[in-house]
Amino acid sequence: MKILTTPKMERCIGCHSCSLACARLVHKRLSWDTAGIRIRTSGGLSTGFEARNCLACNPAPCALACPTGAYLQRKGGGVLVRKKLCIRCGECAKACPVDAIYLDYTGEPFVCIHCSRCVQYCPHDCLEMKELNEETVTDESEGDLHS
Amino acid sequence: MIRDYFRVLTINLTTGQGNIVEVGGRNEAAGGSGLAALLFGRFGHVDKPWNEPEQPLIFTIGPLTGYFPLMSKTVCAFKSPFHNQYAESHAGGRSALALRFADLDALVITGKAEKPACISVGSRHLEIKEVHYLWGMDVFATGKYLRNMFRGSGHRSILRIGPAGEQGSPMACINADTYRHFGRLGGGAVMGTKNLKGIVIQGDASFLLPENKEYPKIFKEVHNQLTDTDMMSKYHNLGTPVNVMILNDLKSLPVRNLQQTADPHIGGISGEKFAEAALLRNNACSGCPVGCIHIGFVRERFHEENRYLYRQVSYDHEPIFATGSMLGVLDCFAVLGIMDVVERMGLDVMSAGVALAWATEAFEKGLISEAETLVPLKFGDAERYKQAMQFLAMGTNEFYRTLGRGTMVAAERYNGKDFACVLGQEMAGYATGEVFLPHKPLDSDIRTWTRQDIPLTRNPAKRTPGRRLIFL
Repeated sequence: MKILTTPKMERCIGCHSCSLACARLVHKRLSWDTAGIRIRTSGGLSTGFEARNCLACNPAPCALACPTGAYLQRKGGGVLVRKKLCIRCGECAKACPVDAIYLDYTGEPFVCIHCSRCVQYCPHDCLEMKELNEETVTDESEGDLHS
Repeated sequence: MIRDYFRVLTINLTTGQGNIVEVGGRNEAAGGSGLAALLFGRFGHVDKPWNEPEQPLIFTIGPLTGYFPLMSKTVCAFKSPFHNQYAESHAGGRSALALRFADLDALVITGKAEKPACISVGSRHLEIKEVHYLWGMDVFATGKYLRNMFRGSGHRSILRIGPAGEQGSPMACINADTYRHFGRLGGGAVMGTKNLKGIVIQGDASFLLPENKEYPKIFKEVHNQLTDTDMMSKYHNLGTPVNVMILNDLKSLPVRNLQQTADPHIGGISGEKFAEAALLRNNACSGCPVGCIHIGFVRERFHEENRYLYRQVSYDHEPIFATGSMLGVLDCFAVLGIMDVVERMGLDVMSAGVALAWATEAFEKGLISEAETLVPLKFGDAERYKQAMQFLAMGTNEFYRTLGRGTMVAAERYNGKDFACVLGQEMAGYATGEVFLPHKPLDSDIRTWTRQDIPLTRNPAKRTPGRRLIFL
């Protein structure tokens, strides 16, 4: 199973093409926020850029925190969100250790689903889909829920 | 979001009140420029001076902003302190997308704050904060403070002025997100005269796209054209500095106040040289995959015991011309050092460079002396130019205050109009096109100058003394 990685952020120019692509293609929105990957500086524009996106935890703290089962743990890592079950409590975003979940002002969560649609829009090839390291998956029976 | 009208936020700094105005004209006013002109027609006063508090400072975007790649610029419009006429200046950075995601087509700022103020605006907030303690700070320091003072981060634009704008210099620019500028015609002074130190625009809204299979397809097509063909390679590669060698070869590069139009040593400040020796990284305006912001670095030893600091300085053809070839400074790091001072002061680099180039020639010819310039000005002396830039921004003495109002204003006062490189405003970094020698200096309005003599031949050997002025 492949996940989105951001191995070349030293090259990032902060164009937000990745975020805009995710919002446009996955979430049908015009936005640089409601996206599975979001770009910010480390501390002002003179300091370079960082990406915030889901690191495909297994087990995923967000899925464990969700009170309605809206978050499904994917086998191998990462999550899928069934928005119809989401009550916008915001616990998922709080639980995420790397700030990968964006809540818009209505509380709707946006998280990377590792679909790879953003990758081709980066002009500097900062993004790559990589096979999740099988060795890091400690218990394969955990999270065996189908999407 | 696109509506069939323009959604305009007006902010009155005198009353501290904002207002949302729905302005018609979506099918008539084209782009940010059209909207800015329309709004100036509505909110501006053609018969009153530029610094009348009611005059508007206008920021607009166009219908495609944020929707397609490269649609990443904002138009700033105002009555200019330079010539009291309507002026337009463009900048990118994050400003255009921030306005789009603040759900505004335009921001119109009128009035004057009682004390130095900063506006913070987003899709769901508006605040005017008193910031008297920031008055006097340079552009970079101001940006760092404003970053921390207002909530929200990342997806926002920080527009600010430096000391030049505070002093009301018609050569003051508005800095947009550190590396871009609303450069020319004194937008910085318009903010300064309103006691407006900064504007923070948070782009915190998102919009549902209409059900549409075409838009993502067209977006992808446009994106691929821009990134997979060589359509934008000039900007993606060396950037506009590629023009330095090209113009030098054409003998069309302004050198030493246009005393020459080429130099055998220009290689020291070519786009190629900058890329090879001084280009640290690139940046993009939000929404643009071309990423043509070129950021150079300069190291500075500030103590003899090998204590160093570094500065990041964005460069392009015009800054290289204005602080390099026009001043006879032919080392890329020396040029970046001058640019850095210009940046921090919040000066328009083009006007400032041309102004000091004139001052250098006037100094050479003995029309002015150190009594006016405070430091001896000499083509190629970068360290003196760094000092002179500060004097120019601060209006340190009568001479620099006069020069700050325009090179031609200074030339009229101190003589030397025939070598003031001004066409409406200080010239740009290209000396191409037909060449004329008017027998009188150009009128302040570029459109009204007339040709008084027959055109010169382009053969430099036959060039007569006097200024070789250009029609741009």
